[in-house]
Amino acid sequence: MTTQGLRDLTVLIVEDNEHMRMLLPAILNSVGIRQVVEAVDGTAGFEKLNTLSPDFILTDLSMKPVNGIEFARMVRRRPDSAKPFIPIIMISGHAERRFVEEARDAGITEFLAKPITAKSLLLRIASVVDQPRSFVRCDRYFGPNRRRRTGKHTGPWRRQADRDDIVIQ
Amino acid sequence: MDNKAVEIIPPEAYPQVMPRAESEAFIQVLTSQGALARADRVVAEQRPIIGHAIAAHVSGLKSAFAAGDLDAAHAEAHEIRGLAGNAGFAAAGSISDKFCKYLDGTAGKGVTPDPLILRLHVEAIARATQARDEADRFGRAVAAELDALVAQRLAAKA
Repeated sequence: MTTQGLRDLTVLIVEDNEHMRMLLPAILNSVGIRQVVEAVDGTAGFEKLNTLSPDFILTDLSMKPVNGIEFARMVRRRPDSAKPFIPIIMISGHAERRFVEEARDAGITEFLAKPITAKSLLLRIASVVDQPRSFVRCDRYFGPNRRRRTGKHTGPWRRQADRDDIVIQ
Repeated sequence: MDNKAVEIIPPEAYPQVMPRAESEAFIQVLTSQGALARADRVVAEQRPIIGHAIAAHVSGLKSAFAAGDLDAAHAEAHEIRGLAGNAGFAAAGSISDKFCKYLDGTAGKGVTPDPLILRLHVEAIARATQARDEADRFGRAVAAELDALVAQRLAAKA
């Protein structure tokens, strides 16, 4: 990709902390990504998603009134979402397992714990561009496949609720 | 739900950020030593600005705690734990994280947080943001001690 190509990318940052809203664009600008749009909560972020058609999203978790997890659900599931497949990188100080799992189940693509480093952010961006995952759609979930292992499956069951069709003779 | 109700959509079947041919070059540019060095410089340049923000959040934390507003104190500590590492105040970030977890833990158990433990955390966070190197060294030790104290108190109330 040329430097011009990097400049063509548009990133949506959804973050209520003004200092993170300074730091994240500064990092992106330093590597040549110039088009950055900002929103301060999930509702504003969803509006910008639909009007500006960004290429990927960086979102905080804790925001009011609409937090990052609800925002991710809106992006993935609302019928009026312009880009339900867009990569979503969540950046949060809530690195506890339950928050990470809740974010994953809302359909985020990557999770990055604060404090961030430039390298960790750029590697997450590289990951969502270079290693896109299959999406899964079922009654209770729509988003990137939550199973990251790509090894060949050798057993009969892939999901807890799969029917047991194996007959042992 | 059985597998018939699960649809798998491979990457080729939905829009990507960029075509595969372009993404390889993108990754090379994005993860080059030059790009990482430029990005690191930017983060370093933001340190003093974020340091000022931390000072404001510490002030807010002290005020909220003094007023008995634990929700506001939690919100301030949450901001500190997210930003402190980018201002060179790793210990303050770590202690703020423990403060938030203690409040979350007591709320989860339905018990009243111990005011002494809260005060020790607030004071330790404030001290850890003053003299950087020394405070960071001692701050880590304080964080470890507070962690042990919190674990002991939460276990006792389980």
